[in-house]
Amino acid sequence: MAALADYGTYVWMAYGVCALLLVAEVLAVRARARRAERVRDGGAGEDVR
Amino acid sequence: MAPMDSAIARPAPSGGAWAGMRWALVRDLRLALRSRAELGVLLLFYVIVVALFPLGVGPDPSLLRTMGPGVLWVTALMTSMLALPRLFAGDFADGSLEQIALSPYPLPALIAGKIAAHWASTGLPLAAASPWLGVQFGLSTGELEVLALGLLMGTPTLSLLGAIGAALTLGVRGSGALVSLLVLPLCVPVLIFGAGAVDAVRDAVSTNAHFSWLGAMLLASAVGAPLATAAAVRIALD
Amino acid sequence: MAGTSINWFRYASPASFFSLAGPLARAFGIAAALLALAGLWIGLVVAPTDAQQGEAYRIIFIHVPAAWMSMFIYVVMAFWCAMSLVFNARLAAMTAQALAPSGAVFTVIALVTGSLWGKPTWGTYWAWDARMTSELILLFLYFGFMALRNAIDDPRRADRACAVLALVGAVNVPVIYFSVKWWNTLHQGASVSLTTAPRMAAIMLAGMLVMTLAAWSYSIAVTLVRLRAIINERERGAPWRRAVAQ
Repeated sequence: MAALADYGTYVWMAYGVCALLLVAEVLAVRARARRAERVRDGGAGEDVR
Repeated sequence: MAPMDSAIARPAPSGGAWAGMRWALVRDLRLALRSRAELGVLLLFYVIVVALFPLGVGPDPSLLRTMGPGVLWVTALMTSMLALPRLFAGDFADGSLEQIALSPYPLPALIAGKIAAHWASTGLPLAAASPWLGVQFGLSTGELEVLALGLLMGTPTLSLLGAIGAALTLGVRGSGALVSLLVLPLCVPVLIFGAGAVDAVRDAVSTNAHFSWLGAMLLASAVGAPLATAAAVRIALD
Repeated sequence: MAGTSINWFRYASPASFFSLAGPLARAFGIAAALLALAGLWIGLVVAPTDAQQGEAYRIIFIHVPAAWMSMFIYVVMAFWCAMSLVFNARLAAMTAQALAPSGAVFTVIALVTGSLWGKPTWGTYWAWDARMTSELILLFLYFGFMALRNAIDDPRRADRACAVLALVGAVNVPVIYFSVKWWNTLHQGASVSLTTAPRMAAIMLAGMLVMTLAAWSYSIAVTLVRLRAIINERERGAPWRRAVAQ
């Protein structure tokens, strides 16, 4: 397990960027779903794309 | 002057494909002849942008020789993108596109005629001008020939692929840049084989494969693009 | 046969699919998390150091699944676009609309991880090799789809236009890939692709497989949540929506 630290910056950057992008996608999708729920419940006049 | 003027002759009610194509070709060529200035501007755009590259990278002859084919091809792509709105926008704006879609001729045939006229007025001049511009980059005679021939075979394909994009974005806001985003990835193979053919001449290698590919892509898009464009036009008109 | 035939089209309406999508998304999300943990454990802990590439090769455990998903999602997207045109089905078009951003995200991941793999292994962040260049063009195809979607106001026209675009793109992708491959071998000779995986020990293959399944589950989960959002957005006025809201 000590070898984990020796994987080098590139490996960690790659996994880090991947995690960031996926988390960002999940957050964005959930925000979109919440907004859409509000449109559904509240209704008229909201401009949703 | 009424929008639907004498340029749009009443089509004969018989509806054959070749007749339709010829009708659309003649009509659009006549219309193009009326906007010679606009077409001249397009050609001038090509000339000016090609001239910008040496100004940007310096006059080193060997660098220019290496860059030349790519520059001439990419700028031709850019100019084709600029020319695309001409294909449908005018007809769409004054309602003639709807009339064309309603005519008894098959819509893909009419569109093929329009694309042919569009190529003759925008793409063909590029191909004709390219050898003269290629001289600026120090290309040899053999390279210039292959450049012109490649553009002659490639620019129709660009018009065909571009027609699909133009029809998809009819009347859409921001359509100018959007069309380029949609069409340019599809044009990558044409660029690769067209510019590659000139490089092949420079490296004294056969250009058979390049021209085979350019020919195959031209044939495939000549068949497929009018169909896809017709579908896109109907979607836009609904 | 009469009376016992399955109505496959039952879930083809946004109304009925909506309630199915929620629990499905949760299930796939959990599966994705578990598979990802397993895959990461295999890739980062169990798999040995590679003889040629050292530790940097471990990037394949995210690069390869991301690249496969980016291509797979495009094919699935094009499939649903075709279905939407053939059956004039709204839900099929909405599914394609929901898939596009996921595909784009995986394409970006594939490009970034490929670039970060190239630097320690081959010394350069970007080398215009065939696969990476094709991934880049695939990204442009995704962006084009999403941009066209965004630019057209009428949702049904956007459905049909994007469907035509996706199908034209799908037909062109093999041509584009082959021409880029040709271009690459011409200009670089028989050089190795920038992102060649090391010769695969079974354990490395297993790791990649598990991570691919994780990525696949993840994309299904996210796409379903996005699809529910799209259904809400587009079916605002529909009577069934108000019924659910009660």
